Amino acid sequence: MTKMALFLGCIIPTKVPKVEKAMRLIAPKLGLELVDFPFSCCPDPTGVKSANELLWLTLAARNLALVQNGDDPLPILALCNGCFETLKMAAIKLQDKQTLALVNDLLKPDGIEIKKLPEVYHVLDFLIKEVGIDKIKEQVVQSLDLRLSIHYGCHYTKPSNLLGTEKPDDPYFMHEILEVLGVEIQPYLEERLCCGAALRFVNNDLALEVLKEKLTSISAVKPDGVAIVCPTCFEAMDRGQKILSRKEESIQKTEFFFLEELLAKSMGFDL
Amino acid sequence: MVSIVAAQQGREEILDRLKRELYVCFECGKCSGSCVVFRVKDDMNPRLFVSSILEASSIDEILEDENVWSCAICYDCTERCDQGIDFTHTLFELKNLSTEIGKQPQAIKEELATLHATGRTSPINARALKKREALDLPEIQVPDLEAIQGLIDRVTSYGTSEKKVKEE
Repeated sequence: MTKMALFLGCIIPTKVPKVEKAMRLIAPKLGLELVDFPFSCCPDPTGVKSANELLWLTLAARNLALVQNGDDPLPILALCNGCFETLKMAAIKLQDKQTLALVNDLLKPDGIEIKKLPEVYHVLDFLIKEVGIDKIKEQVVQSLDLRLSIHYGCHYTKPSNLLGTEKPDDPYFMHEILEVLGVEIQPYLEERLCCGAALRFVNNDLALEVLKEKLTSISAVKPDGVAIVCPTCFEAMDRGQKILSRKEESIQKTEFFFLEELLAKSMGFDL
Repeated sequence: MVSIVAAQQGREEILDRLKRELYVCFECGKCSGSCVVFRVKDDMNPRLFVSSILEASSIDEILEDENVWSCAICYDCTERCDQGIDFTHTLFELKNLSTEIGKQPQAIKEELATLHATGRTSPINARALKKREALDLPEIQVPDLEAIQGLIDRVTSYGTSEKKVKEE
């Protein structure tokens, strides 16, 4: 069993806890032991970072400090693109000794310190790179009779130089997994386009204009649903489609499926 | 590390540095062609935004532009810039400066207030707890709120006090 710190973030445990449930169900099947920690908000790599980048970095560092585990930090498993991006970017920025010293100084009054930086994984990368497609295949007991489009979300791949993404313009890990689950993949023109989530609270009309571009393209290919790996994209797209489908004939509502949910179903769990 | 540098630099220094970072722009327009916001909002044109920063005489002049807050943070301009300009990050710096003078959107103020009050941006409410109970999920582990608040207060005053020292 590989021991990992489960980073749920703010949205999954409160608004889409079925994703957490699915992850906890499939973890033992994939040889994973998930450990919970009293993490704070990651914090979010759009709003909090826009307000104060040093605050964003320090709060992220505090979360990284919680998994220290002596001198052997537990690797972190993030189920959300935003949490992944924040924690991974913070871990990279903190490789700079001056930055680390400043942040440790800010953490000091709480008696916590980063001695060694943990590995940070997005669940999708972990599944492909560490678990492996063959092991996932072994656990599949039920083929999913679905024709799904895919949305990866910007913060899973970008900024690629900092996140170490291999093919930022052409992510394919979700494609690989869904094929193993028996899903027929339905491509669409704007697969790489942003969902506009970061703009929602700043300018909701503008966020919807951006989302319209995305959802029009999905509606045009009429999939059974859209496979996703990010709860922020989910919130933006699911809420947004309710508003947009009332005004725009070109947009029909669709169903969103989280990767964890699809994996759990194909492994025989009833969610 | 730019975030730390920005916290310690005065506004004039920041403007000079931003201009140096953007000076290499050769106005190819790839950023604008990649920008999902420019598709739907024709005054959010990253290429022209870079030019206006290069011509600006003060940070405050740049912060007058509402489009400082119009970035979707998709990073496509950063990804595609042949000159290695990270314009997404330029806008992060400008939004940080805008927040310092209280010009951030109301929703950003609210998000920070929620973070300070709960340690999260999506608070745990009765509805969430009910959903969790139905799924037989364990209790959500919450952080030491006092520690989080202390840290937020320390960091928020850090940049300001460093700058005050410099400006004096």
